[in-house]
Amino acid sequence: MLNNLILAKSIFSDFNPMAFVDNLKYMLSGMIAIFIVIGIIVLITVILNKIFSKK
Amino acid sequence: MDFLMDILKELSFLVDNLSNFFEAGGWKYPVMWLIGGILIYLAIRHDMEPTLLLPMGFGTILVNIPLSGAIGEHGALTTLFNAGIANELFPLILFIGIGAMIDFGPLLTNPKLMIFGAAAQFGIFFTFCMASMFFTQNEAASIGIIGAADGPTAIVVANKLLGADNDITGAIMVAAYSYMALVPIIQPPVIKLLTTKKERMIRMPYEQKQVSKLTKILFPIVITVVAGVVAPESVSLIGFLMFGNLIRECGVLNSLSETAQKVLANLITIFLGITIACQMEASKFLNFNTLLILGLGLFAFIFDTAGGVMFAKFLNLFLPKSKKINPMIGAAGISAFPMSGRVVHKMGLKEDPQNFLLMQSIGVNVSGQIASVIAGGLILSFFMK
Repeated sequence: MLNNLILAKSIFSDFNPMAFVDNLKYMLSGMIAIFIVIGIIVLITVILNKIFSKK
Repeated sequence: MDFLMDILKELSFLVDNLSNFFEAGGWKYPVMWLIGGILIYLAIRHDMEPTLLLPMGFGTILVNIPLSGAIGEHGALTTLFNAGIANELFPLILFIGIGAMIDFGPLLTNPKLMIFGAAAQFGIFFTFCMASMFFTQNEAASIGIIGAADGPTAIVVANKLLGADNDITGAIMVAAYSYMALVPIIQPPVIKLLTTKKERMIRMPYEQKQVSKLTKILFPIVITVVAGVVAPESVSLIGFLMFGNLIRECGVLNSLSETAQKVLANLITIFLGITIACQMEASKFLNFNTLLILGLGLFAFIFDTAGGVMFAKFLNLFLPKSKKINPMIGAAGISAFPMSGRVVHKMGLKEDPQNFLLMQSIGVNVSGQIASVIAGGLILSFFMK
């Protein structure tokens, strides 16, 4: 129990709110990258559907 | 008398084992048995991901018996762990089975739905930012990936970023699988909080279109190439998933497809569930970090749901009245397949018994599966050194 209290104390002493701000760039670039990749896949799927659609 | 003394001496190992149990920290074992029991209870009584939670629950009891022979250098579970999880083999093989189960038909019919799968990955990155306030960057990224709502992806990313024997890997795996099972409980309140009754009643007519066999065959190959080029670290994840789907759609491997969907997936799931429990040793699991990780995992699921719903609401601002999207389908973009799609469908029916959203929500749901794997690949690209 004491170990856990020490661990909890160490976690909160390491608490670094600025890390949230510092890492926002990863959130932004990650979301943009996902939308780009999915956008490309959507585009290719639409093209595939157009080319190979059943008449 | 000597004979009795000899017997007592022979039995002294029992005393040693019992004293080991009652020594400092011995209380942790019954707590872990209780956690294992809860997992088994949830699996049997509430039918929550029983294929995973039941082996995990039993495995938790197995590894938390003092001096358990199941773990350790020559323990059977440790051997299985090294053979299948430490090298990411089990989750990847499981992906073949999952890929064979997925029908991308609803998605190919309406590919634009895929965009919601992307939006619903918001929870991963937002949770990463939140977790970075308490943990190192790699740990935070591994915690964020719980929001992928996809056990195999969480295992692969956490293993690559932290190594298999890291103290928090177990908590990440448990959170990823437990919350997947809890999707029907987590999502509805979040969706209701973010939408009005009028929005939940929006009808989306489903247009049945025929998708050619060639499109269905080319789709998994194209996805693998595109995702692989953008995030090479995701190639094994997306590749195995799409390989399974190719087996399903090619039409000449029906027997393999059935084996992948049933026998292979079931077999690997049994090993995966019980082997993950290796990470649930009391000494590693019962600490404040675990609580924090479980909290952040829940946070990730909530913000995934919110990301999908809010994105649909945002799109509605620009759409004409007749083309409005029911924002609930955005929530199906988390990859917990097919639970999330079903949750949205049921909620739609509850608001309006004539509102059938199943095809749209399942389409979004399978796109979430693809997007979550791509998100995992991106996380690896950012933080793997």
